[in-house]
Amino acid sequence: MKIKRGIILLTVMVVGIMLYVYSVNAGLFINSSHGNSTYGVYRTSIANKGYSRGNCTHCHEQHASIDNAEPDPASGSPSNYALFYDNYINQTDGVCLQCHTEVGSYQQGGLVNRSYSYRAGGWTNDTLNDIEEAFTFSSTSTPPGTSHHLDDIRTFITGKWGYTADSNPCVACHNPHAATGDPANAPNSPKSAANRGYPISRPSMHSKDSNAWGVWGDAVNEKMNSYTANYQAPYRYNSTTSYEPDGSTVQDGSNLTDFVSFCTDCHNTTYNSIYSTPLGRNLRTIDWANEKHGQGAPDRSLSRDAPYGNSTGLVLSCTDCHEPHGSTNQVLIRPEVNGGTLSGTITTIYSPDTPTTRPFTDSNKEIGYLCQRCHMDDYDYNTSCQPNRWYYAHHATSNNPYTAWRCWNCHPSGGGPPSCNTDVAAINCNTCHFHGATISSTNNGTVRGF
Amino acid sequence: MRATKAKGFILVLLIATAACLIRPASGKIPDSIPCSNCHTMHYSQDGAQPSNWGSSGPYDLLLTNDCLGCHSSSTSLTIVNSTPIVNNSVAPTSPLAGGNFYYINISDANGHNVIELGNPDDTLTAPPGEFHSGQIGQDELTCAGNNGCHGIRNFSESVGAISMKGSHHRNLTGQLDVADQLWNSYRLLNGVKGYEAADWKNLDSNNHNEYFGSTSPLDTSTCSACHAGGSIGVKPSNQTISGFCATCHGNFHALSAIGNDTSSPFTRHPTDVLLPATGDFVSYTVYNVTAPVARTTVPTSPSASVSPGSDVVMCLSCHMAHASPYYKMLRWDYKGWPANGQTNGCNVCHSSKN
Repeated sequence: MKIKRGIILLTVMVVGIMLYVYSVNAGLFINSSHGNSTYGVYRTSIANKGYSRGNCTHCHEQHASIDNAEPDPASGSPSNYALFYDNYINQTDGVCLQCHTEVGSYQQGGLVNRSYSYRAGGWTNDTLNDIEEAFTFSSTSTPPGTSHHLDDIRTFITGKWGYTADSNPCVACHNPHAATGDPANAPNSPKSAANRGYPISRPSMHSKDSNAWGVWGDAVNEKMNSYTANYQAPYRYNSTTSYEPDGSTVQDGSNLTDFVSFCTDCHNTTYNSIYSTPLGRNLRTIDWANEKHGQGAPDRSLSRDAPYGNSTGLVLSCTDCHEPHGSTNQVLIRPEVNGGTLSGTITTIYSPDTPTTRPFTDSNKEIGYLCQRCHMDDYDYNTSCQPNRWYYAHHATSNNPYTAWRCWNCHPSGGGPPSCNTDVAAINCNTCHFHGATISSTNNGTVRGF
Repeated sequence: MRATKAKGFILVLLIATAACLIRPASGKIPDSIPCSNCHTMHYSQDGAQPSNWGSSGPYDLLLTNDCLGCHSSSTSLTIVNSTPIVNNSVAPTSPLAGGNFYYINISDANGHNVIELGNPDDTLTAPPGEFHSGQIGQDELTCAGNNGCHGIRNFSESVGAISMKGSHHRNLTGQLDVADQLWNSYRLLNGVKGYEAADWKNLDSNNHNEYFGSTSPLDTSTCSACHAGGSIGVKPSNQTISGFCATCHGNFHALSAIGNDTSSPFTRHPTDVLLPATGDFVSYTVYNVTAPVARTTVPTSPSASVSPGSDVVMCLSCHMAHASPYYKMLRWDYKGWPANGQTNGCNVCHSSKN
């Protein structure tokens, strides 16, 4: 009996010591997706020299040379931060994208990274499969689309929060020494509670000390339910029982990173002159504490699709609608939202900065493809009506903002008998609906358009 | 009575022998040691060479051996008869601060393949990062002299022991903050300042060498950076240990090599720049022999403290001088990290990148 107890005690001690040793050695980097010794960084030319996966040298060449020669890629000159490639060159070229690409990657075997719609939304039909590809989306790409414009990001962050003109714009959002895979080491799977990680770090907390600039979203007070008690998670693709971001039944945002605090580090009302080269204008400012899709109180009730229902005061996360890197839609709108794909591609967004031309008369309703995913369009109200028409929302629900009368006041086409199936031409949605919009409603007074 | 006299004689002999063996921990050979311990007039004793002499003589300066002849051991000991051993034929139990050439037997990549070892480097044909092409060719690196590290590195004074002439008789130890002669230079590295630990070892935070550093690396845009004093000889003008390394590996450690200034971002890992007093560097406050720092003033004794913003990163923060058990003569198994589960010395300075 004593011997048995002794063996158990010894086993417990040994395991305890092993765990202690592991915990001593375990740090932010080796727990990150880059530093992981199983699936971390592994540049082919360095791997061939026998370096461990996850080793610093896969990204940093301390002497820009090994064995008196520059490892592949050999550019002939050393790069800043002793990186193996220039830190940042342009939208589709720089040290990060040299590995984060499926084809031609310096990472052995290439790297597959999926869209948010795939990872959180569970839309596994999305063929977008690497970061470099996501950043290629532009008005001239095939297919066209939009992406976070890295030149503009670099311009914006320079001089803020410790960033300099030498900083890599990817580092505005990611700490390469801390970011964890999301999902980790499962590039062809959506996120789950078991494999999800935390790839972002807040730019406003940027520091060269990863202990001070860790990942954002892993702590209890960094969750969406910490930002608001009124978050409702959208459905996962093709499901009415599982929810973003990890496919579980959790709906209150306690498993979602507080993306609002993260994104509004930059996209707020203080920084009101963030220039967008692709848009050719400054970005709209976002006051999420006031906007009705944010924490602002609703102007009126509006029927919505499940799981949102008729409850009011709900607060969205930025990622409920937007991709982080790039999308085939304008302004990085996700191709899949709230359990389904958008019924069309959003190719055009009108600038709201030219109010003298409003209302826009081209009847563009592409943004409606997004609205449809959560709001009831005419077809949802009445199947004899048409999808992506919005007569009910504007004219036929209780507390509607505009009485269906004197149609020509707003609709250049004029009108007819109040009905969802009239030939009244729609107003371009962007006339009223954009971040920061305020509009005059005949029945509700001045209301917010977003 | 006769037995008592004999005992007394033996006792005196033992004391004398011990006195001969006990020497100050430096490169200086005590005057009490007979000349014949090291020199021979004819490289011959009774028509042959004693077994403790080198077999490839006669040697310069009438020596009985070459560098490794005295600084090698077939045991695992690294201090033998008060002589520092840098080349053991078996694994050393307690390598000196500069490392041990034993590890080159394991891999050429583990150290400096000086030709005295008889084990030429199978990979490198020149010093990595050499500033002048053809400076030192394959199988030309020596312990001392023009193509070596120790001694006067001057064409006219050539190689080996001649470059060390007289220095073993005058060498100083402890704080060496003048270094205008070979004999008052750190570890007989001509022109280099430093503090020599009495036991040649970097044992712990309280017992170690102190290396001299600068807040800016050598600016090799001028010849005098490496050819200090305007002579044809080679020695670092800034008298730092990193400057010394840069005289051969200039494209790694010169100012131009790291981006032409002393602030981040660097194009190569800098040496002879201040350990930043920002970010995760501020956590390095206790001297760690895994990744030691250099001082901008040579202290009179080793210090257990590190001051980011005042102390300096150097070549020897990461590398050993002679050889180490690890790839590229690093101080830890960097190449195997993180899979090896061991400490990564990078994290001594980059404390949050662990």
